[in-house]
Parts: sequence; C-alpha cells; structure tokens
Amino acid sequence: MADGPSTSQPANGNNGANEPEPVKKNKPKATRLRQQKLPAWQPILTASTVIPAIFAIGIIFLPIGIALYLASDGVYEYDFKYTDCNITEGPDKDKIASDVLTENLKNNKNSTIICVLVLKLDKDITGDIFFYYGLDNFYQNHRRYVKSRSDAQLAGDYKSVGDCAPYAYGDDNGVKKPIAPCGAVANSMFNDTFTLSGPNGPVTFSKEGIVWNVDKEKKFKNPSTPKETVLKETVKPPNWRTDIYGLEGGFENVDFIIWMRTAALPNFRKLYRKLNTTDKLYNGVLKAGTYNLKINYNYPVKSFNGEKRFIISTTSWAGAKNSFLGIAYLVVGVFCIVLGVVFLIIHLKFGYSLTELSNVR
Amino acid sequence: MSESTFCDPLTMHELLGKPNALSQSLMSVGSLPKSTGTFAAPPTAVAEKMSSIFDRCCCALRRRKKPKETERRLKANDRPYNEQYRYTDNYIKTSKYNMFSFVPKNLFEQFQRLANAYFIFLMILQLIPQISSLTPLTTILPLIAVLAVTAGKDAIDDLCVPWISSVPWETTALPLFFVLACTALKDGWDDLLIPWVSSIAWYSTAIPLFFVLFVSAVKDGYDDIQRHRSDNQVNNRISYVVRDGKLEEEKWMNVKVGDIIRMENDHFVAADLMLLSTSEPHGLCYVETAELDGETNLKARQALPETAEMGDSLEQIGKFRAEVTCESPNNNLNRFEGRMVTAGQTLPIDNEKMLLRGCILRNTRWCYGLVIFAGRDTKLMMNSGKTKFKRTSLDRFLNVLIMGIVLFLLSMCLICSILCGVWEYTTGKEFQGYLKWDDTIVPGPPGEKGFKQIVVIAFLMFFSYVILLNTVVPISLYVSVEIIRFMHSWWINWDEKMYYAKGDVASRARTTTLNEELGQVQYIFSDKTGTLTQNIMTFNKCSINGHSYGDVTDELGNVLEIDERMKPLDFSFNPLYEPKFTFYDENLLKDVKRGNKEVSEFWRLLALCHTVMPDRKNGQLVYQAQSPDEEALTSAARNFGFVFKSRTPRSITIEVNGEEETYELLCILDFNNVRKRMSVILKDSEGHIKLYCKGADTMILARLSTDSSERLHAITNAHLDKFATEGLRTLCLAVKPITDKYWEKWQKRQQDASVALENRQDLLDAIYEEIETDMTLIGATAIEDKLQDGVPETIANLAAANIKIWVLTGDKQETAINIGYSCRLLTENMREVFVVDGEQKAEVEVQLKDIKRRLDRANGSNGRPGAPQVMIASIQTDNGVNGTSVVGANNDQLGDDGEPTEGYALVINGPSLHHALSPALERTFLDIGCACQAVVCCRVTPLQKAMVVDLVKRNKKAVTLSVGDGANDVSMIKTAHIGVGISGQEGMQAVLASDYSIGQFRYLERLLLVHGRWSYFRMSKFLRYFFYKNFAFTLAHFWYAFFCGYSAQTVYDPVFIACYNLFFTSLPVLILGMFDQDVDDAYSMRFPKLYIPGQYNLFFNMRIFIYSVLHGLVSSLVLFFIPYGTMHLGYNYAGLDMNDYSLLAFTVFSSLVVIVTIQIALDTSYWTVFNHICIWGSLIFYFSLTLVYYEALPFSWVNGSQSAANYGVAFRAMASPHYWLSMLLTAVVLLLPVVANRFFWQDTQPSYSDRLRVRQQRPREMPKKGPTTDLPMRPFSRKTTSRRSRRGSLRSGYAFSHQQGFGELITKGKLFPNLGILLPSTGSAPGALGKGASSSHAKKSLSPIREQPPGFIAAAAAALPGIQLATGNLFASTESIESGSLPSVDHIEHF
Repeated sequence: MADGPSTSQPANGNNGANEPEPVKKNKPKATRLRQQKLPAWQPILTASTVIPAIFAIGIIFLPIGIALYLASDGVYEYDFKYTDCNITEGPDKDKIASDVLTENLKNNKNSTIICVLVLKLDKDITGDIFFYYGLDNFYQNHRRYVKSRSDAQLAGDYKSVGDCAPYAYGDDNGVKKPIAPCGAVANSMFNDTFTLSGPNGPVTFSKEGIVWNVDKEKKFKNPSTPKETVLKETVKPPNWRTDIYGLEGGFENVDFIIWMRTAALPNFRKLYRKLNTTDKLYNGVLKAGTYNLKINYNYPVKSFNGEKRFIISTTSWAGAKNSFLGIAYLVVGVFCIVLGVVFLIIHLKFGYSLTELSNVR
Repeated sequence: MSESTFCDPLTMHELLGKPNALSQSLMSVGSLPKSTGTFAAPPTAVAEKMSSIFDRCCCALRRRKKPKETERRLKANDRPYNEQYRYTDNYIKTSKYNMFSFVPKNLFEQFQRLANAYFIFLMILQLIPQISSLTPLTTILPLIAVLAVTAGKDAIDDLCVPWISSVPWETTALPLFFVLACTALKDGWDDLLIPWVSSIAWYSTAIPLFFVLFVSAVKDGYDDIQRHRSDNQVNNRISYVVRDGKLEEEKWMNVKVGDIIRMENDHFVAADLMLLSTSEPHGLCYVETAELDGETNLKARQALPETAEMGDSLEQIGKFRAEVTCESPNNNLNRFEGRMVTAGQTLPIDNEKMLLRGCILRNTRWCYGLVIFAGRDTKLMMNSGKTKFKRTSLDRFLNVLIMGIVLFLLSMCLICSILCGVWEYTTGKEFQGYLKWDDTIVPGPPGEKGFKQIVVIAFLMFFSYVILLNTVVPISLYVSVEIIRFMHSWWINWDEKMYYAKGDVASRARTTTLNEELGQVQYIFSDKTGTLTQNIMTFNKCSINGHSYGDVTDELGNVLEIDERMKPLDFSFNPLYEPKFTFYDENLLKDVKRGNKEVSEFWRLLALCHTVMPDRKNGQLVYQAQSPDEEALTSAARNFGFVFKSRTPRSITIEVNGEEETYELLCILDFNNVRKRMSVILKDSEGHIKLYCKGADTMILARLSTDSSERLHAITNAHLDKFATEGLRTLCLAVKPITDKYWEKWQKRQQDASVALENRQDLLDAIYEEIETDMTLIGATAIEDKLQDGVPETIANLAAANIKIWVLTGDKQETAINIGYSCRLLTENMREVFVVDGEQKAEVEVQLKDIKRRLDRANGSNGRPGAPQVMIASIQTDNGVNGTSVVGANNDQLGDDGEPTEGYALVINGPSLHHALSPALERTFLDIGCACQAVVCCRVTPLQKAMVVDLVKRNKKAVTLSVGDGANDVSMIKTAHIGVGISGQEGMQAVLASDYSIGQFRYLERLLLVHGRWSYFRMSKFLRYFFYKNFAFTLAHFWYAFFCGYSAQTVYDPVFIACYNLFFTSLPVLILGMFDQDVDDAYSMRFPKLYIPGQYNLFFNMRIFIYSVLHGLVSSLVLFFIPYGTMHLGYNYAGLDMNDYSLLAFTVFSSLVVIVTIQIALDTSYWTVFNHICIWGSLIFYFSLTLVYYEALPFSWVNGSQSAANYGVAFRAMASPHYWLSMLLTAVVLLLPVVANRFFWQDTQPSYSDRLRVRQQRPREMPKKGPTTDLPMRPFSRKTTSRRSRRGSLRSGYAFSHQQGFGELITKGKLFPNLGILLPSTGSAPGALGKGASSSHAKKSLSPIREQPPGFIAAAAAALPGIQLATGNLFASTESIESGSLPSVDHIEHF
C-alpha cells in the first residue's frame, strides 16, 4: 500500500481504456459477511404483536397470582418473640432472661436459664408442621462474618482453617492450635434449645429431613482421623461450651449444618425441628389448646438489639406464608390488562398503520 | 501511543517508499556508511560519533538557556563567527526515547490511560486483604483483556497497517482473540481453583500486569528504534561542504549554519539554503517541492546575479564572504525576508532565492547554497508540527462520563462508609461477641474499643466499597469499544462498493479509533484539485461566428446527452492528432474541412496566441503549457489541423493542413489579472500584421469595434451564457489587423514604456489597452474542468445530510467559483453568494460586517444565523424518550428532493482570509461561514487551510473532516477531527497523514452516510446498553449494603462477578456493536436525512446516558427487591429454609443475566446468525456453567473458594417455584415498560428511521407512486437553462490558472538556454537581454526550435512549470496577488 509516489499505480488514467486491466489485488471479497449483507431477521414492534402480548401476560399472570395468594393464605403460622421472656425456674425466677444472661456473661457466671412459655393454639394445625427459630437484627450476612469459615475443614480436613480469622487459632495451654470448627460462623452457633408439651403430653420433634441433601452428603463430613486425635490437635471455638464432638454427630450435626448455612438478610428463620408424624400422641396434628414451650435460654442477642423468635408453621406448595409474590402477580396482571386496553385505544385513535408508517419520503 | 513528536515527511516517505529501507538503515547503523569508509577509519568514526552525540547533549542543555531568536545573523564560510550564536545544527530527532528515558517515560505514558491507572489503583487496593471484598480475580481478568486488546490493536494500527491489507484478517485477529482467551482462561483457572491466599495473589496479579506493561513497552521501544534508525539514516546522509576552497564530505547532521554546500541533481536539499550559483544560465535552478506542498510540478529558483557569477569556481566560493541578516526561523513556506552584505553591497534576499529542506533538485546539474536554517529550524520541520493523537468526541465524552461515574461511585462509597460507622456504633460494637474487630486492623488498647476504632473501620469500608462497586466504571467498556471499532474499520476495508477499480484502491481505515465520529461530521473541508476535479481540462464547446459547436443533436434538433456510448470524432486524417482528444460534434469538423474562413481564423488564433512551449517526447510533439486551459486550447487546435509546432523568441511556426506557416512574433501582450486577456502581434509571411487576442468575455466584448455586427455580439453572448451555466470556462477570441505604420509608432512607445523606471506596468498596460481596441470578434471557447466521477451527486447528497462543505483551494477566485457551480456546491437556487476579496484589514472588516448584517436581517431580528438552530429544535421535539426514535419526518429545513432550496454561500480570497482569521475578525467570519450552505476559500496556503479547519474545530461543537489528496492538504488533514486522504496521483503524503483513505471523492458519501452512520448508531446503542448493564449489575450491591451492615458483602458469587462482563453479557452486545443496522446501506444513502441525528449527538448524549443509568438503577432495584420479597423468611414446601444467602444471590444473579440478555434481544434490530448464537448462547452458557460449577464439579474442587457456600444452590433453586416465579415477575416488571415505551413512541410519533425501517421491510406493499418520488435526489445533469444566468458576471473565466510574466520570458529568450549561452554575459538588465535576443535572431532568422538539440528543449520545457509555479498559486505570496477588482461585497442578486 505504501508504495512511494514513484511506483504509483496507473491510476485514474483517462487513457486507460485500451490498456490491459490492472491486477485487482486490493479488491475486497464480496462475501455476505464482509459486505454486511448477512441474512437477518429484523423485528419491528407493531401493534399486532405488542398489544396481544401485553394481554397475554395479563391473562397468564392473574391466575398465577390468585394461586399464589391462596397458597400463602392457607399456611398456618404461629410466630412469637421470646427474647425478653421471664425466667420460670431456678434462682433468677421471674427475672427477664436476657438481662440475666447479659449479667451472667459479664460476671463469667454459668447458670442455666429456663423460660417456659404458654402457647395457645386456637385451631388444629394439620399437615406437615415445622418448628423454626428466628433471629432478628442478626448480621449473619456481614462480609467478615460470612467469610470467616473453612469449608475444607467442615468437609473433613480438620486442620484447614482457611479464612477463619480472627477465629482461626486458639490457645491450648500456650500451644497454638487450629480451632475446630473454626470461624465466626461456627463460633456463634445458636444454642437455645426448645421442648414442647401439649394437651396430649410432650410433642416429639423429628430431625429427619431438616437439612438440605447437598449439605449432608457433600459439605459436612467428620474427619477420617479418629475423634481423639482431632480433639487433641484442635481446640474448641471460644464461645462453645463443648467441643465439636459434644454435638450429636460431630461435624455432621444437623443444628450445626443448619446454622452454618448463612442467611441472606439480618432477619431470618432456621428450621429447628419438624413434628414427628409417626408420633402416636399427636398423629401429625397439633390440636387446638394450650402448649408449654420450655426454652433453654443460652444465646445472647440483646446487646445489639437482636430478637429471638420461635415459629410453628405449616407449608404450602409455595412454601411459607408470604403473600408478596401472589399480590405482585395480581397487580402486574391487572396492570397489563389495563395497559393493553389503553394501548388499544391509543393505537386506534392516534397510532400509525404500517402502511402509513412506510409512506415516507 | 505511538505518536511521533516530529514527523519528517522526508523520513516517512523514504522509509515507506522503499521496502528495503529498514535493512539498509540497519546496515548503516551496524556498520559504517560506505562513503565515510573512504576517508575515516572506523575507530575515529566511532569516536567522532560519540563526541558529536556528546556535543549535541551539551547543545541541548545550552539551547534551553538561549534567548528567543528575533533575527538571524550569519556569515558565509565563517564557522567561528556563527558558532557564537549557537544555532541549531542539522541534526533531527523524531524519536521519543533514549536508553535512559525509556522505562520511566514509557510507563508514564501507559499509565496516562485513565483506565489503566484506575485499574492498577483498584488492584493495589485489592491486595490489601482487610479491604478486599472481591477476589483480585474479578479485576485481573478484565484488566488483562483490556491491556492485551489495546496493545494488540495499537500494534496492528501502528506496525501492520501497511501490510495487513495483503494478509487475511483472520491471521491477525484470531491469534489476538486466542491469546486473549487463553490468558483469561489460565488466570481464571489459577484463581478459581487455587485457594486464594494473599501472598499468592500478589504475584498472580503483578505478573500479568508486568507482562502486559512489558509487552507494551517492547512495542513502543520497537517503534522508537524504527524512528531512531530513520533519524540516523537521514542524519548520516552525505552532503558536500565547501571548506577552504575544497569540497569535503560531511554528514547532514554536521552541516552548520553558514556553511556553503554543493548539491547535485536529484539530491534532497539538506537544510534551508540560500542559492548562490547554479549550473543553469541566469542562476536558475529547479526544485520539486512535493514534500513540502504537494505540487509535483517543478519550481524555479534564481540566485542573485552577484553570486551566480561565481559559477562552479570552488576557489571563489571558498573565498566568498557575506553577512546575512534574516528573519528568525518560522513556518511560513512562502515568504523569506533577509539581506546580504557582500563586497560592500547590500542585496535583498527573498523566497525566490531559497531552497528549502525537503525539496529535490531537478534538471540542474549542480548548485551551491548557503545554509541559513538547519535541523529543527528548517521550514519543513517547523511546518510538520506534532502529530496529534486524535480522539473522538465520544472518547472525550466517555471520559467525562467516567469521571462522573467515579464521583457517583465515591459518593455511594461515602454514604456506605458513613452508614457503616453508624452501624458499627449501634450494632457492630455490640455484635463483637459473635464477630470481633480485628486488633491488627483496628488499633488501640484492648478493651477500649469505641469511636476511634469505628472511624478506622468506616474509613476502610470506604475502600472496600470502592472495590465492590468499581464495576459501575465499566472497565471492560474500553476493551469492547476497541474491539467494536476494530471491526468497524474492517467493514470499511472490506466494502467492495468503496473499491476504486481503475486505480485498484480499496478504502482503508488507517486508524481504528475514529469510526463513530464519521457518523457525526458537520463540516467537510475539501481540497479542489485532485479531489473534486481531475485537473484535466478538455476543450468542450465553442462558438464561431454565431454558430455554436459541441452539442450533439438528433434529427429533430434535440440535444443529446454525451455519454460513454457516443462515438467521438475521428481525427486520424491528421498525422499529428492526439488519440485521447475527444470531440463529438461533427459540424465543426465539416466546417474546418470546408475551409470556412471564420473557423480557420478561430483555430489559427488558438494555435498562435498562447505561451505554450513545444517539446518532443519519444518523437511525439507534446505541449508544455503553464496552465492546463491553454494546453487544452492549443491541443484542440492541433487536432483540428492547426498544429502549433515550434517557436523561437521571435517566431511561431504552425502547420495547417500539412503546410508550415511561420509568423514573425512581434510582441506578446502578456496576461495579468487586471487585463484578464493576452494578445500576440504577428506578422505573417506576406507582411500583414495582426493582433490576436483572447481573454475574459467582459474584457473582449468591451473592446470590439463599433461597426461589428450587433447580432453576432448578441448570439455569442447567449452562447457564453449557455456555456457558463453548464459550468464551463469560457473565453472570447478577437482579431485586429494592424497597419505597419501604426505598428511602428506603437512599438516605439511600447519600447519606451518597457524600460521606464517608474510605473512601468501601468504604462505598459495603458499602451496595450490602446492597441487592443476595435477588434473583431471571432468566437468563444468553452473548456470543461473535469470533475471526478460522481462529485455533484455526492455533494448534493452530503448537503442533504446537513453537512456543510467548505472548499479550500489554492486556485483563483474565478476558478473556484466556477468549480463550485459545476459540482453543485453553489447552486442557482442560492439566495446570495457573498464574495470577500478585500486586501486590507479594514476592507475585509467592512465586507464581513456587511455580510453579517445582511444575514442577520435575513434571519429575522434575533440576529442568529438560523438554519442549524431551527434544525435542533425540530429534532428535539420529535425525539422519543427512549432515545431510539430521533428525527421527525416533517423536518423541512431541507427541500423535498434533498437539495437546499435556499441559502447563502461565501467566497473568500486568500489575503482576505488572512485578515478574517485574525483574532478580531475570526468570530464574524466563522458566524458567516457557518450560516452559509457552502464556503469557498480561494488562494489559500496549506497553513491557512489548517487554520480555517482549526477555527471551526475550536469554536463549533462540531465534527470536522478534511479531505484532500496532496501534501499541501496534510496540515488540514492532521488538524481536522478526521482526515481523509484520496489515494490519487499526487503522491502518498495525504494518505500517510490521513485517518481514512479512499480512492475517489465520491466514496466519501458511503464512508459517512453508511459506515459512519452505522458506526455511530452501533456505538451509541452499545454504550447505552453497556452503562445500563453495569448499573443494573452493580447497584444491587448498594441496595444490599442496607441489609448486610454496610460490610461490602457482595450480592453475587464472586466468580460470577468476574464472569459477568467477560462471558455472560459481553458477546451479545459486542455482536450488536458490530452488526446492528436499523436500515440497510441503500436506504442510508437514499435518505441522507438519517445522518442528521448523529450530528447533534442524539443517539448518545448526557440525557441518554442518564436515562441508561436510571434504567440500570431501577433494574437493579427491582432485581434485588423482588427476590428479596420472595425469599424473605421463606422456606419451601418441605419446610427447608430458603432465606439463605446463596439462594438469594443465585436468584438475583440469574434474573440479572436473563433480563439483560432479553434486553439486548429487544435492542437488537438486525438478527444475524451471530446474534442468535450469542444471545441464546449466553443464556445457555450461563445456565450450563452454573450447573457445572455448582453441581457437577466435586465439592473438594470448590471448597477452598468463596463459592463453597453456594455449592449445590443451582438444583435447590431450580426445584423451587420461588426461583422461577420471581425471575418471571422481574422480567415482566422490567421489560414490559421498555417495550411499552418503545411501542408507544413508535406508534404515535414514529421517527424517520422507524418509518424507513418499516418501509424497507414492506417493499411490496409500497403505494405505487412511481419511481421519481422514491428517489430523494434527481440524477444530476448539466441542464441548459433558457433563462439568463445571473452568473453572467462570473463567467469571465480567462485562463484561470494563468500567471503573468510568461510572455516576457519567451520574448526575452530566457526560456531558451542556448540563446542565453550565446549572449555575452553583460548583465541582467532586461532591456539588454532583449536586444541581444533580437540580434541573435537576426543572424539565425526564424530558426525553429525543433532543430535544437533535444536536451536544451527538455531543459526549457522543464523550466516552464517551474516558473509558472514560482509565483504559483499555492505559494500565493501576498505580493503576487494583484489587487484586481474593487473591494466591495460582490453579491449577486437572485432574480
């Protein structure tokens, strides 16, 4: 291309008619791609496609909305806070549990705090019944908190502490040893326990099927090393009263697994137990009546304005009692139908037909 | 990046011109130059070199302290004297770096790229583990891509453009993408799978970074070595310096001011020299100045007689002593002022005595010159200013936007940081039981944690959020923009419709960075010669004795269009005919053969009355004319059998029908701008004396004898009008018999006048005037200045696209106006054509203000030049909110058929322009120019061209484009936003300086209206989507901040964050940016109004940007809160809790990917197979990746990464209705309004392109209105209009490119070197020379020149163009421009 002027082409010659055609080595190839002439679909928004589509969306959304709303409406949910429950047993009887716990922590005193709450169910609860504990204003999704765990350790590599800092290593008589399970998440494991008794006697809880399969099967594994070795080479998390094997199942303990699945938002619920349907006393139905919930109150949340809840709930095909989706679908559905009508009017009164559109100079 | 600080065209030309230049220069660097080897032993040479380098360094140091030079003084042959001034030596430097400055300078340059610097900063932040909220991977992947692509592209731009055209694009593009992909994959692999620990990450970040920087540096270094080599090559050229009466070889760089050097034929001039003596008579020498101003013609330079005497005598020259005082170095090529004191005489030196660096000596065996300016001070170097790194307005706008986004980002971070402080104070401090503050980060005595620690935490959190939210500043934007621009360049290169078959020239995008700006051009500055016209004159029509010849008519007398099919007349009966001469009207030939008296007289006049020199080339008679017009006329006469064969100073010989006729040439009454005519007085063999005159019609018609036929007069006048309307240049011919007595009397007075010391020219003019009266009209001629193909159509179409065209030409005013009409730049429909031709500043000021006043009055009382403002208003009201519909169909500013119905035009002259460009007047000039449809600037210098372009560029927010083909256009090509070079015959300078090169002017239309428009359209769409996509993506983090304790927790899986811009969403929008089109190319050309939105930036501006950002913001809000509402405290039918982090993250991210993909699907208006693959492919890829990554991979592979918590989330989510229902809801909530909005505007207020798009797809349903309404533009033809043209006053077109002073050269024999030698060299008084010439003529009576040795004839011929150009139009020095017409606003009323 950059030949000097001396060797320039026999360009633009007005006498070039009789000369042999010059070699056209620079001629671009005439492929459809290079000439930007690829066959293409060129959609246009027309009244005949857009308006029916809007109606169609409305017609689809309305029944979905109704179904979701009904599903959510049919769920029974019993939710109450017990953060400030009154202690019913022991020396601190009738004191507020959270205060006593705060006091105990300050004085490094270790006493059991027990609240017994009376629940009144005004109707029979049928179907699968689940018991949840809920925490409010608990930042399980704080970045440093979320990060502070070692999935490798939980899956069996008990010495791997990953990103567990500042709960990675503990001091065992002057020897630095990895914490097992390490990290802020494990260290802060929820440790209130609940028992429920009702008109027919104690309600039996079941731990079957309350964790996701993937957690049980892949993520949480006890080390293949004997328990004693593990215990010898590690230390327990500082907040724990027991070591990992003090929990039933060790690393595969269901409460531990559930706790370790960090919540997305500062208010969350975690499945505690479900009603044992094979239990003869209740036959999978909680009859209306008065129940006593005995809470082993260990977990402090008061200092950062946290709340603790206990929830009894059934489920529908759409899960929990949550009318958000149902209402949203209904609103959008109605909006679509209104919009469709408005557009139909606009189009008929002010719109251009395709023929009008294409008549342009 | 590879901008050269100085750009010596000489160097460039040589390097590019010779493929072997590189290897040669290698040799000359590596070993010693052969010529030096003869007298210098290698070690000495090296030592010399070293010392000279050292000297130069010292010089450079000293130079800084040197005061500004106001006047230059030097003495010839006196080095010690000249040393004291420390003038710049002849060393030139175009390279940027040296060994020591390379690393810091290059790094500095690399980090000057805002994006790179920002990126590095982010990466450093991420290396601090306490802050890092993302893995460095998320930043590194895009960074590698950015740097790699940019470097690759730069490399291709800078290094490979010359050869890339011959290599299939795949070979360069594929490896590029391959490398890119490999790098990305490898790093991704490392980072995904090797658990991230900060120590490792530091290296894994630094190594690619250093690698990239290193590669860029190597590339820059390589470029610079090239420059060093070419510098070396130039600096080491040999010149011959006169020292102590001997010639010494010296390298160019060692030539000093005050040296006298000897030059030989075909040598480059080494520095700016004052000519001392030459091998040719009268101290003449000829130079080619193509490197300087683009003219390939030769120019003559003449030494002072006092110095020319020295001849070749080395002894004399060695002893020559003179003191020169002259102007300081400057960049004015046309002017030089100085004086020389030698032997007690003070002699003036002007430009005619100067040889400038960059010229080539031609047709001169040798010459001697005194070095006046050297090296950087030479006019060449002063003129070739910095090669500016061009950026598009979009680039600059993007920088502004990015600054804005960064501010937005910082304010978001500040908010988060403050809120974080608040949160830590209220909650976090107490939450320490579960999450303690790290003592190492939060210093302070243990147990005393409070306010101070919170401030530290909040402060750190600020940076964490900077990292987390940095994706609002779209780093991958730059990569993508580069890739898209690269592709757009290939579209241009590949366009077969912009391929010029005759010259085998394809269009080339020489830079890849300016494409979208092609869609926004508002002003085109065009060169004329070679760009609009072919610079070929053809004899087209004539009128003889009231008969008009030239039109071909059918039987009924209708004029037929002359086209390719028509057979030209056969002139083969004439042995001296020229095959390329074409004429179609056989009547003329018949009349010639019939021996019609008037016709014979007509041709005889054309064969005799001119200043053409005959020459022989390969045995063929050829003419060397000083203007192409004159050549065309003489050549026409030749073909019709009146062959001009030879001339001497005193005779002219022609051959008529095989018989020679010799006329004694008594006098040439030369042309000048006032007379606008020339005459010859001849005595035929029978002793009859006749005056033949040709000239502008106004001049001739006023000097006809009173008893001549009124009717003939009227008819000829009508013919002249007809010719002028057709855009032809006209000329009137007249004859007058003269009696011997009268002649003798007149001659005496003429002799007296010609030796008068005062007012010689005026006296001569008066005497000429006396004899040129009472003439008899013979006829008129019409010459066509051939336009390039398709120029009028292109100009009309560009005008319809609201592009203003300014023609900047070195031609004279008349020529320029004439061409303006013939290429439809100026039209009959124009309301007024203003002419500014004042000489003095005051005149120009009056003229400009007068025009301004008229314009203001015409545009109503507001005093604003109307058209553009009205246009903006009408567009904006039609503009849909969604930003896609733009121009209303009812924009009637332009006429129905795409041609301006009214408007103004401005014609301004070079000297006037000089004043108009002064700071006081430039504003007025600009206002007028911009209010006019067309502007023609005549007689402008290359620098003025650049100044005009710069004026518009500085003051108007408009994109300017310069188009030209010659080296004289280089300055304006470099100045304009976009420079387009036409690969013409005038060498490659324009093309080398240009950003785009095309084969013909007409391709400009396609380049702008199709490629430019598409580029802008695509780029705008791309950017709109890109900002939307990034805001939608990033702001979710901000919303999430309110729920995660302002801890900079991500909403999405970090791995997906890294992939989002790179894999999930990049390809569809890239493909859109490459392929999308609203209407096809044919429609783009047919409806030029489609171009207008680009000029007003309607597709991408602040409003659209804010709209995109808001769209993204709302999207992110909906994207986050719908899953939030769905998942809040949720569990599935089996009671398993579903309010965990990974499920929310996955749902939000999936919705995001799905929605932005559907959004791009909605935005895509041209679905090629690639769009389908990429859009559906992106979705498929995303979902398969999630399945593989979250489900198929063994857990042990991911359990070290932050994604471990998310493992298994895909099946969990997909099995639940929450996931799908929230996604569907989000999609409808976000996309339905977009569709509805678009549909609403399209349905009720469709834009121009909307309508055309519909029309394009429904061709069969078109209302059949006939093809004429279909075409926006009638095919242009030069129609003959019956009404009297108001251009009557413009048709005075005599010899537009003619110069004065040629007749004198002929009659005094200066162009006949042989005569010069015969003469005694008594001196140079013109009178004496004239006498000598006549005496020699008396001895060798009427010796025809063809008997002279061919060498002399060649030399004489070569002198012709040289002298023509010595005062030539491009070197339009102010002195040489005649003060012709009266300075007044020469407007032409429309009636």
